[in-house]
Formats: sequence, C-alpha cells, structure tokens
Amino acid sequence: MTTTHLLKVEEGCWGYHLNGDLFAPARPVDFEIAAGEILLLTGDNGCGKTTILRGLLGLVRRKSGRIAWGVERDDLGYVPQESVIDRSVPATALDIVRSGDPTRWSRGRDAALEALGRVDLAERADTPFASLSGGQRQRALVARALIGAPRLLLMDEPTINVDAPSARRIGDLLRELSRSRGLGMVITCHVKTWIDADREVPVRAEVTA
Amino acid sequence: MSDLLAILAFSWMPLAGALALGLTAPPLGAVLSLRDEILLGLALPPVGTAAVVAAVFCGVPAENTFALYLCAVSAILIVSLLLPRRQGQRASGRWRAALLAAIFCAGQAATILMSATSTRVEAHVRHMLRGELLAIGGAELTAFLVLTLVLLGFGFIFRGMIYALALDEEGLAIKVGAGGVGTLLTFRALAAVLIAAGVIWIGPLLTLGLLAIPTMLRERRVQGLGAHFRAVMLIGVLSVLLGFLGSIALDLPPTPMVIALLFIVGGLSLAIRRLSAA
Repeated sequence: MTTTHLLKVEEGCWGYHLNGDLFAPARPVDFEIAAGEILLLTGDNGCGKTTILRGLLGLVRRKSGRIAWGVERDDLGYVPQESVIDRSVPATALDIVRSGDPTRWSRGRDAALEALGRVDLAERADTPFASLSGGQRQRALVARALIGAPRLLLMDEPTINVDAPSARRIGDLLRELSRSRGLGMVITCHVKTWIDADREVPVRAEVTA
Repeated sequence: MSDLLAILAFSWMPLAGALALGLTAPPLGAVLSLRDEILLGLALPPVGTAAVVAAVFCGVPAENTFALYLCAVSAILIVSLLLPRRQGQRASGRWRAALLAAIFCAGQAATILMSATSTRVEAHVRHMLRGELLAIGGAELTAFLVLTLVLLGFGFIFRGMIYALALDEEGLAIKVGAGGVGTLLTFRALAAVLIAAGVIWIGPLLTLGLLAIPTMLRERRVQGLGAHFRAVMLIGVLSVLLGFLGSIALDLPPTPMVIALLFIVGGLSLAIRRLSAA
C-alpha cells in the first residue's frame, strides 16, 4: 500500500548567503507528510527551523537534498507569526483574512467570513486587527491561510507570542482542521505541549568550526 | 461672487489638476504608510524636482513639460527601485529612514545648486517648482486626467493585490509567486508616474502634503481598509476644493491654503467620528 504524500524531503538543506558563502544553519532533514497529518519541526532557537520552512516556500536557496511535492503551489498555505503583520494597520480581521486571496478580493468576502467561522472568529470579523488578542490574531492568520482552500499548511512558530491557554486552543483548532479537512501541516516550534501532533522531526543546528 | 467666478474661469485648469491629485495621492500615501515607506513620499518629490532642473540645465526647453516629466519619472523610478528592501540589519527600517532623509537633502541641494549656477534654470523653472498651481495647461491637464482615471481604475480592480502588498509583501510573494514581484514593480512604476506628475504640474509641496497628511490623520481611526482609502480620498478632494476657494477669497497662495485645509478637514473628520462613536 502506498501513501500519497503531500511533501517529501530527503536530506533537505537550505541556507542564505553570508560573507559570500551559502550558510545553512540546520543539518539536512528527512521527512514526509500525508493528508491529515501534523508534523512538528522542533529544535532550539537558532537551529534553523524557520530557514527550512522558508526554504520550502522558496524564500531561501536550497543547498542540497531532494524535494517531492504532492501538491501544487495553489494548494499551499502559509501561516506566519502574528507579529509579521503590523498590528497598528487600519485593517479589520476580515481585511486580513481577505488579503490571503488577493486576486479574488471582490468575491472573497463570503469565503473570508467562512474561514473566520472555522477558527471561531466570525463574530470578530469587523474588529480592528489591533484590538484582537495575540491568540486571536494568530487564528486570524490561520483563517487567512485557509481562505485559499489549501491541502498543506506551513506554519512558523504559531504560538510564540501567545499565552499557554490560547496556544492550547490553537492546537486543538489545528487538530480539528487536520482531521475534518484532511489538511497536512508542517509546524515549526520549540515547545510541543500545545498540540497533539502525529510526528516530530528534531532539527539540529549545523556545527560550524 | 462674480469676482470668484471670474477667477475660477481663469484658473479652472489648475484646480482640476489639483483635484485629480487630491483623488490619487492620498491613497498612494496610504499604501506607502502601510508599507512603512511614507518617507518615500518625502524623498521622491525632491528627486523629481532635481531631475527637472537637471534636464533644463542640460538644455531641455523648460516649455517642453512632457520631456521634463519623463525625466522626473525616470529619476523617481530609478531611486525607488534601487532603494534597498528591509532585510534585517543590512537595511533596517531605521537605516532606510535615514537614507530617505539623505535623499531628500540631496535632491533639494542639487536643485538649489543647479538653479544658482544657471540663470536659465532659475528663470524658467523657479515658478514651476515653488508649488504654483498655475503650471498646468490644457494638454498637461488632459494627460493628468487620463492618468488619474487609469490609476483609479487600476487601484480599484487590483485593490486586493495592493492591500496584500501593503500588509504583508512576503505573504503576497508566497501566495502568487512571481506575480508578487510584478505587483511591487507595477506599484513602484505607477507611484513614480503620479509623483512626477504632481511635482511637475501641481507642485512638490502639495504633492507631499496630499501623500502624507490624510493618511496620518486617518490611519489611527480603524474602519477597515476600504473605508480608510475612501476617507483619505475624500479629505484630499475636499481640502483641495476648499483650499483653492479660500485662497481666492483671501487672496493667498493656494498651496499653503490647501495644506492648511488638509489639517482642518482631516481634523473635522476625526472629530465627527469621535462624536458619532460616543
């Protein structure tokens, strides 16, 4: 029996230019993820978890390894840390979510409201983004990724600026989304207790002389 | 009243041009502010001004405003494209702000130097560059109005992309791939086209005022992105109209009158919103 993977990484290593060289902060990693699975990339601060994620998104260069995608680019969703969006912007939660499908802005209001409903923020659609709590802002960014009906979500430290109860709530939400919609999720984090994941891949920093 | 109408009959073209800028510059300023690039609105008009002066200095007839306009667009576009993007410590927001302030100084200094060393420049260009609204003729107004319609149409049709570019440029690039870079380049080009038109035909001070003041006054009153952009456009248009009429009535220069009205109209809009919220 074969499992259709959404993403398969073999000895994947990504880096960025530093002093003329391509510096990879993390050692090569191997993992694959199927529909409905939640995989955690764990490790200490600075070990290169975010670089791996940014490499999968095409934002940094791949140094080595092989990547096999089972999804198209349109099926990919990305959830950054909530601090990526300047919280002082004059935007509502609904605006933030609609910006996740920018090419269909005029037709995206209903889809955005539905996405907000899936993360239990429907009643906060017209609330200024700045007025939401950290956990609510993070959930709004999850909704932003969901608006494009993705099959695979890549999430970067989604609970880093969130208190423990809110983090647990986000973890339960992601678990429910994964099971109900068959979403695969690759999540970087250095604390694992907030989510019931299927597998964990430890990321180790590259040793430099 | 008959005096007012007589003056308007004489100066309706500058008013029409200023109204067109009042519609387009405020939303451009709002996007720049959301991207933490409002200082581009400060730095780029002097770049355009310096390009105009340099062109006249090099022999381009001062009457050929379209040639001067192309020089200004080119200079503004080159500077905005060469501006390093925020990338950690290599080009932090603070360093970029200092760089843009330096570009402002360089543009102003270059303009003054060239004006001082060439009587031809000084004679022909000074009135254009002091923010005089009388620097727009029939052909320029037609071009500016066509440009306004194009910008407003583009902005409305692609507002989703523009909002995404303003809120999270990297997220847009992830979502649409190469289209994200195309959106940024298109935005830079259209911004250069508009700012250059404002500098040449309306004046650099009013261009900067319309870029910065409406969004500064409204940005902290969150109503949603669409409402924010509509509000800054309304402030821009009303301020231009009332400022122009006020300048006629009080026999004062129109540009500073419009600037004053930007603060007054914007402040009134804030007060009205606070009263209605209470």
